This record gives sequence, C-alpha cells and structure tokens, in this order.
Amino acid sequence: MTLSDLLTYLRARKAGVYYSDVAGALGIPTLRIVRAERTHTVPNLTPDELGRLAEYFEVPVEELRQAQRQTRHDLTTYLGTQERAGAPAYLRLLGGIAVAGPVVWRDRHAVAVQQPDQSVFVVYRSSVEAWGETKDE
Amino acid sequence: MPYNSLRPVREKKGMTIAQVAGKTSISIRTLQSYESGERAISADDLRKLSRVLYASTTELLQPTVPPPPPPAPPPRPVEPAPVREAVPVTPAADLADRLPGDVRAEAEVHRPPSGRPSFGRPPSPRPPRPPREPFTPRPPGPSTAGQIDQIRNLGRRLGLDDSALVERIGASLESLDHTAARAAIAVLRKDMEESGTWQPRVQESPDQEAEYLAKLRDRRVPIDVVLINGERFQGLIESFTPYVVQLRDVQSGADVYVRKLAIAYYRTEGPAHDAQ
Repeated sequence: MTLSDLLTYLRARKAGVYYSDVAGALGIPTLRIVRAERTHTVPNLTPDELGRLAEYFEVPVEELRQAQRQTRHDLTTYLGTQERAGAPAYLRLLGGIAVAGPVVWRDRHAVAVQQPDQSVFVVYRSSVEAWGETKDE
Repeated sequence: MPYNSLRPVREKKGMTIAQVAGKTSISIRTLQSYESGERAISADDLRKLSRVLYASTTELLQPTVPPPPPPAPPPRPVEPAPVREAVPVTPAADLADRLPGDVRAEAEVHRPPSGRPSFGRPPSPRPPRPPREPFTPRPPGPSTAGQIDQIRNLGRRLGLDDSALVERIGASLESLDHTAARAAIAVLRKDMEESGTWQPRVQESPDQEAEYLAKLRDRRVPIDVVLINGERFQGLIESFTPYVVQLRDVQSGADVYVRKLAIAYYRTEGPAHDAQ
C-alpha cells in the first residue's frame, strides 16, 4: 500500500477523523496532511512527522516507512496500463480478499473491476494492499 | 457678465498682475479671472485689492466695457506644396519652372541644395548607426547536478553501469555541458520508451464514481457495501454526495448513511451491465 492510501485508511480506522483533527493533534499544518494523501509522488513528510503520525494512529513507524517506498502514481500507472491493454487487474485487499478482472472505470478514490459473473466490484484505493499479483501467487 | 474696473485701475497704477498677487496673496489665476469677468470678486479679496491699489471698492466694481480681443496673428504666407518625388521622377528645377510666377519665386527662395523644398526646422544630423554585429549564440553553460542525477537514474533503470552509460552517451558525465546533458537525457528516455521500461504518466480521472452511483441509483440496482471494519450493508442507493452514500434496506425500508471514507469496497449483487 502506498503511504497516501495508508494515511487515508488510518484516518478511516480512527473513527474517520478529519485532516484538521490529525493536524491539530500533531501540530502539523493541515495542508501537509492533505497533500500527503493526495500527492502522486512520495509524500514529503519528515521523519519526525512520520513518527508523530505513527504514534497518533498507533501503528509501527516502520509500516509508514515501508509504505513510502511506493507512490500513489505506481498504482495509478498499473491500473491505467491494464485498462489500456484490456488486461485484467489483480488487486489484493486488506483482509486477504483478492479481486481480479478488467478495469471498468477508475478515478482518484476507487477502481471498478468486472467479475466473471458480470457483477462489478468497486474497490477503494485505501483498502488496496498490493497489486499486480496473480491469483496463484 | 459685467466687467469690473480692476484691470484699468491696476494698469493706471502701473502694477502687473504678479505684483498685485504678491501684495494681496491672491493667486495670479484668480486675479486673471477677476479681470476677465469670469468670477465675481469676493468681499475679502475686494478689501485687499482696494488697500493695495489705493482705490475704493466702488471704483473697482465700476462696470467697464470688455477689454478688446487680442489682435489676430498676421496670416502666414502661403508656401508652395511640397514637391514629392513621384514616379516618373521629375527634377525639382523642372517643377519650379511649371509653377506660376509668384509661387515660383517662393520656390526658388526655399529650394534647398538637394532640390526639395524644406519646411520647419532642419533635421539635426544623426550619426550613422554602426553596423550590427552578427548574432553569435552564447556557449552552453555547464550541466546541472540535477541533470547528472537524472542521467544516472535513467541509466540505472536501464541496467547500465557507469562505463556502459558513458559508452551509450558518448562522453563522460563530467564533460557534459547543459545542452549535451539534455540531449543525453532525451536519448536515455527514448531507450526506456523503446524497451518498455518507461511508462508515460497516467492521469487519474477526478470523479467517475459519481456517474456510476447515479446509474445504480436510477436503475435501482442493489449493492452490497463492506466497510473497513468488516461491517456489511445491503440496499438501494437513495442518494449520495462526494462523501456519503445513503442506502435504503429493501425489506425493512431503513436508511443507512455510509461515509465513503469508511468503505473498503462494494459490489453489485448481480450483473450490472446497464450501470456500466
């Protein structure tokens, strides 16, 4: 999971706190939190800010550092590439659920994947743990 | 408007407007307007003028005939029209010969040495403009640290070590100037594009979900929503905003407002061709 999406997920898990709640509790400008979630590249959070975020969300700081290795753009590029090629996209969600299928639509928050029974599975990016793996993996 | 006697009295005393203005602290413009009758003399100014000009207020306010208009300037002598050098070219001397007698005399008087009549002030001689130096492009500056980093990164993604990178670029990184570094980056990007390593930037659509939810709502397609904490809700979409979806349970009719931030995923309960 990317750091941007992980921060969204952690906000949701913590009773859906707002950006301003996080910023006020940590003494970080609200705009930095907003940008960290929305940036296409690696959020430019300092190690100190990462530490405070980890403490606030009650997760190991290493989890945030790990998420920093991938950018929001990486997932977007993967989905866009699969969509253009008409190839199925493979997504692994938090909780171990795997979803695969052609991309129906995608936007900043979610991606819709068609299922073999013709139903549509809409996945929010903040619940995507990994992507690009086959079902066998 | 009746004219007062301010001007005759002042001239009789042999004073100029400026002198009166200096002694009375009345502005020259105001005095001019008093004398011309544009304005009536104020009581305060009238007392000042009476004191300075040694005249009674009655004498100053005595109406007089308006001052004569200034003499008209003498008419300017009619000068011959400028002789233009037109096609066919006619020598100025020939033109002068064709003019009537009086005008020809004027033309003879104003004829400059070049043969063309001159009007107004003669042009001031200008020094000749020095010839422009031929344009020579500035030599390119040195390459920036960012360019060198970018070349190294591109080479790394292509799997090129330093020696292979130098061989591909044709020069060492230290010897590249700004233009050569830019060209090297373009070459490496082209290599990446051809090898499939480099992907063009993929844009994120701002909001496709709203359109999709609207179709599900309009076609009464039931959905199954799963939140990040594992809770599930099923129902028909009644309404939605960018942040909240209102679901109505088909059987009980109860409404549930689900915040999108809390949604992990949702799916249509059956085929949803129409909604795509």
